[in-house]
This record gives sequence, structure tokens and C-alpha cells, in this order.
Amino acid sequence: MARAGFKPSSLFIYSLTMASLAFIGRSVEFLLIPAVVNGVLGFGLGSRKIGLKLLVALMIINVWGALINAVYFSNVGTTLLDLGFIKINSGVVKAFLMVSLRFFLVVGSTLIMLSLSNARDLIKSLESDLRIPSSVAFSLAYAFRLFPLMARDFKEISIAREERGLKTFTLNPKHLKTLLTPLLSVGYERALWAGISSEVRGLSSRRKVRSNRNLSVGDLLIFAALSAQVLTAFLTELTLRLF
Amino acid sequence: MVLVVLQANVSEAGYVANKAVLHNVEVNVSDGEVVAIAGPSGSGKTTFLLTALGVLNNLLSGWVNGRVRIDDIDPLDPLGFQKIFKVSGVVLQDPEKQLIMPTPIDEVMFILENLGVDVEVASRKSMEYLNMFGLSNKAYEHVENLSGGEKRRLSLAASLVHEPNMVFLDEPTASVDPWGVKEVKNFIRNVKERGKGVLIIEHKVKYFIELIDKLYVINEGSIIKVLSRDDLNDQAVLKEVRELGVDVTPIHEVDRRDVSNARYVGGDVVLEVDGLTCWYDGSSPIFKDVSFEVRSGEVVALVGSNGSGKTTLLKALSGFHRGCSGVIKTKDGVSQSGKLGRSVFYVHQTPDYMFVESSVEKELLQTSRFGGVDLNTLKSMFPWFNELRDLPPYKLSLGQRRWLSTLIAWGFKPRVLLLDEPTAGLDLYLMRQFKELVGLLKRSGTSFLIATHDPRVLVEFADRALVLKGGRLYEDDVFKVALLLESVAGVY
Repeated sequence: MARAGFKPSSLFIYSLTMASLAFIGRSVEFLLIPAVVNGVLGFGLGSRKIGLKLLVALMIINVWGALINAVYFSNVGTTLLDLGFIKINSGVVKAFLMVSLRFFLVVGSTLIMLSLSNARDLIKSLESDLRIPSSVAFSLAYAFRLFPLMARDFKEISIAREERGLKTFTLNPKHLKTLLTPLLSVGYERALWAGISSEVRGLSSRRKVRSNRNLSVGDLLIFAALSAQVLTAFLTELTLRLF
Repeated sequence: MVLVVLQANVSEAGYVANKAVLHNVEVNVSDGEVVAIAGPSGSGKTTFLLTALGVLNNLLSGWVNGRVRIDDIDPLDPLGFQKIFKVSGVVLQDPEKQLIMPTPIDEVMFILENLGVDVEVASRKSMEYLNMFGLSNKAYEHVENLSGGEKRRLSLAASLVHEPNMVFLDEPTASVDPWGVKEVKNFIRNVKERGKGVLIIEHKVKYFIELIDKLYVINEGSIIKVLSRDDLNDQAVLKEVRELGVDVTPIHEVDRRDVSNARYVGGDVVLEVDGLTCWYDGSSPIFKDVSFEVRSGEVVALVGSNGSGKTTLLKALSGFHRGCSGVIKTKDGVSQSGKLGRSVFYVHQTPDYMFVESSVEKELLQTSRFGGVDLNTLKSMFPWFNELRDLPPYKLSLGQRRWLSTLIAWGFKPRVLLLDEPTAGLDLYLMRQFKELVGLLKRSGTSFLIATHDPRVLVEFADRALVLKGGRLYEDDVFKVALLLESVAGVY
């Protein structure tokens, strides 16, 4: 059962809406408050479940990706910094902030969902309340099993890197590849066998159980938080346009 | 009346078009019968299992020409494939990859819920099975908190809870200690007594030999021998099978003569451990006052059950387990904050963790640059270098990946290589290939401390055996320890 008596499907709706908000948002102001709220809450709760180091690694990968993307594709506007070999224009800052805020919003809200519910309840809740196909619901729930494994893989890879004379952690995008390759390789093989394991145990024939459970106070609080953030985002955007 | 629960007649099957991996494989299993398929790595054992379950053509985009029936269900047909979970239970080679839910109760209930069993009934039955497999007190813990043996027991419970007529086991001994092997044996005996069919894919057949009614030997995708129960009692027949790379004979029957004068007495002391005690945060010590030494060129086996602290000891020696007290000394000096510099090098049992580059050649180049061993020396020590130099290391066979990861470690010129379960999942042929590598590196003066519960490591290439039991370490005769491990596993 989910903590605080709310349905995992409520958390899923929350997370999905936040992700949608991230893609609807076209300005820094629109995304700022939901991104900060979800980023802080999600990373705070998620670090206990997944491990702070892995989350920091994800953040750094995002920072580099966002920065390279911004420099290559959005280097327009007034010049803010002239480094000689490259000029950093205002467009870079805006594009960098947009991608980073979206990242914090999507990942943060997902981490909130994963931290406050458990796999079996989430699958059942998604299937029965939202009628989501089993395969989709299962894929989301498998993340509960996968994250601790990824954290362990990351720890073992760090040990091997240290022994091989490499930094356990790196900010250099070229070297990030050497960190990600083993992580993805091990993860891919595991995911393949997990897929086989679930299919030979009847995932695709899963029968759905309908739920008649009403919304609890916890569910209402989630929807209230959701509405408040959506309203704040739109109102901020509107206020800035008007004034 | 005896009913055939698995009928498989596969004329050809493969992963990519026009490239058959299996040729004319016919396997039948009746109820109450235990059938094994054995053969060297890459012979097609697992491909057959995936074919028989319908996974190859329905999930992996492979193809199958032939006919398969499990209890009148055709798993090759997409609709039949969706029904096979009702009549079959599957235990995959690695519980880490098989277990998909975060807690044991979720894992066991998964198939019952897929069958549409009422949640309360499913919950009650799952607890009953967890209790049967000694896991009821861990029903709500995260799977990651379970030991290797407990994970294996959980995979067995999850495969049987819906009472299938046919149970498939893919190399069930690959990731367990001898105590775990015994549990797998008891499981198979129990399934057989219930009148169900059992198909075991395994190259260490000796563990199950008294339970097997029929043994198929497969090589290069074809069945080359079918042995009956009577054949399995014939030593001459078993010798033939052993020569095909199948481990059918207990150690005491074949290896004693190889052992008597093979032990090497090491040179100078290169690693000295005195009064080492290690613990996890807030827990009582995993082991206490551990003292031993390793001499140059020695292969020392570190033996103990899953969870006895073998890996922790290796990590403590390499400075990656912080919670320790005691003294660790090498020829290069005393441990400073748990670090021994490059005197020791720890190699995890998953070789993939070690790789950082996109090709075999780049891996060796990086090793040469950072480790200092000449690149040509490293190339010459990887026998498949010319044919595999551009291949990503992850695409190599398990034996080759283990070879490469050990070679990389050696390339950093450690005095002692700390290997964690290096022979897990290796068949007799690959194990001997690995032995060849150890021999090669040993001749250069490198010492080895190998955490293992594989009796073959002890008998075939360990010079000494250290046993970690109940938090204490003691030294014992190599052959005696190997026999003990086999007897724990139920091999006599």
C-alpha cells in the first residue's frame, strides 16, 4: 500500500502532468517554480532510494548535454561573454535554463512517484484506476527494481575505474562515455532477461482487477499540489506578458 | 499412464535469417521425469530452452522450423506462447536477471496475479511458498537485501507457486554456492516427486546425476548423444561425455592423480594480513582477526558460503571496504587509509564492470598507457586479439571477457590479483582456458587470491585453501576442502 494512504495512480497522474507541463512550457518563468519544487523534493526523496552519486551523475550528464546543445543551436542574442575562441550570447543561457528546468521537472516528479509508492501497488493502481496496458504499467514498476541495481552497478564500475587509473567521476563529456558504456551494457542485458522473465510468467496475459476505492485525503492533497503548481506556472507567465 | 509434457522436434532454429544455431534437436520429457541437456558453452543449450519456450521466435525475432508442445500448448504460436506460463515454470541462470519485482512477496505473487487468482488467495499461497523456501521472514524486504542463495530460492519459489506441469531450469548452479546447489537438488527432487516434468540445462551434470532419467548431450547445435539412466551408471560412457566438455564426474573419481604433486610453494611473502576485522555500518563484524599471508607466484583459494565475507575481504584488501581494523602489508608498504596502491588489484565477477573502451584493442591500449606493460606483450597474451581487436569487449564470449578483464588487471602490474568468483558460469573447457591464463600470469610471479566455491578451482589450480566460516579464517588442505564443497552440494 502506498504511504500516507494515497493511490499510486494519483502520483502517476501528478508525475505525468508535471512532465506535460515541462513540454508545454516555453519560458523560464513558466517552468521555474514547478521545476524547483519538484527538483528539490524529488532529488531529496530519490537520493535515499537510488543513491546521491548516481543522481549527481545524471545531473552532470544533463548539464553537459544542455550546455553543448545551447552553444551549438541557440548561440544568438546579445553577447554576454567573449572568451576569444567563442562568444556566449544570451540565447545560450536561456536555452540552457530551459533544458535544465525541464530535466528537473520531469526527473524530479518521477522520483517523487517512485519514492512514495511500491511496484505491485503501482501496477495494480495504473491498471485498475487508469486502465493502462499491463506492459506499460509493468515497465514503470520495473524501475523500482532497476534503480538499486543501477546504483550497485555504478559503485562497482567506480571501483574498476579507480583501479584503472581513471577518475571515478568525471565532468569531461568524452570520459563520461567510458562511465556510461559499461552501465548501459550491463543494464541492457539485464533488461533483456527481465523482459523474458516477465513474458514467460504471463505478463501479456495479465488479467486486470478493477478497483472501487474512492479518493483519500492523501490523493486530494496530491491533486491540490498539482493544481497549485499548474496555476502558478500559468499565472506567472500571464503576469509577465501583461506587465 | 505416463504423459509426455514436453515434445520438441526442432529441425532448425536461429537468431538471424539463414543462420541456424540448432539442427535436428528432438527432446521429450514425460511427467515425473528429470531430463538434462548438457554441452559446452555455445553448443546451443540455452538457444534450445528459448526455442522450447517460444521465446526465440516470439520475443527475440528469431526463427524456428519444427514442432514444440508443452502440455498440448504450442509455444511457437503467438497465442500459444501467451498461455505457456500456465503450464510451465522457468528458472533462469541468473536470479539477478530473473527477479523483476522489488520484494519477494511481489515476485511470487506476480504469476498468480497474471493468472487472475484472487489477491487474497494469491497472497496466502505466495506466503506458503515463501515459507516452504525459508523466505517468509523476508517477504517484504527489498530483493537487493537478499543473499545470493536467498535470491536463487526465491526464483525457485516463483517458478513453482502456480503448480506447473513442466519446470525448466537454465544452469541453476551457475550463481550459487554448494549449499545453494543442494537446495536446487532438493527442489528438483520435490518437483519430480510431485509427478511434474523437469528439464535442466546444465554443464555441471555431476550435481544432479542421480536424479537424471535421461541426458542429452548437445554440441554445435545438434544432439550427439542420448544417455539413459543405465548409461549414467556406466563409467566408460561418463568418461566419453566428460571428454566432450561436460562435467559429469565427481572430483574424487578423476582428479586425485593430477593433484598430488601439482602444488606450488611460493617465494617471498607479498601480502601479509594481520588481525583484520571488517564490518558494515552499525553491524557486528563480518569476520574477525583474520590473519594470513600470500607468497609470490601462489594461487590461494578463498572459500566460503555466499555471505561469508569473501567479497568483503577482497574489497578490504584493495581498499574499497572502509569499515576495517587491522594491518595489511605488502612488499611495497603498509596499507595507508586502506589503500595499497597498485600492489593488489580487485576483479569483480562481472567482467563487464571493468571495461571502459569501445574495442578490445583500445582496452589494451588504455591498460598499457596507465598500467605500464608493453602493448605488444598484452596483445600477445590475448589469444584472439587479431580476430577480435575491433569488437566491443561486451560482445566477447564470457570466457573471453573473463580473460580480458584479468589481463587488464595484470597489466597494472599488481603483486596480487584478487579475483572474485572468476569461474562462475564457465564450463569445463572455459574453466581450463582460464586455468591456462592463471598459469601464464603465475609464471610472471603474480600471485592470486581467488574467492570461490567452485571445487574445480581448488583441485585444478589452487596451491592453498583458506576457508572463511562463521567469521573466522583457517587454512586447510586444498583437496579436502574441494571434497567438502562437493559433499555439501550432495556429490559423493
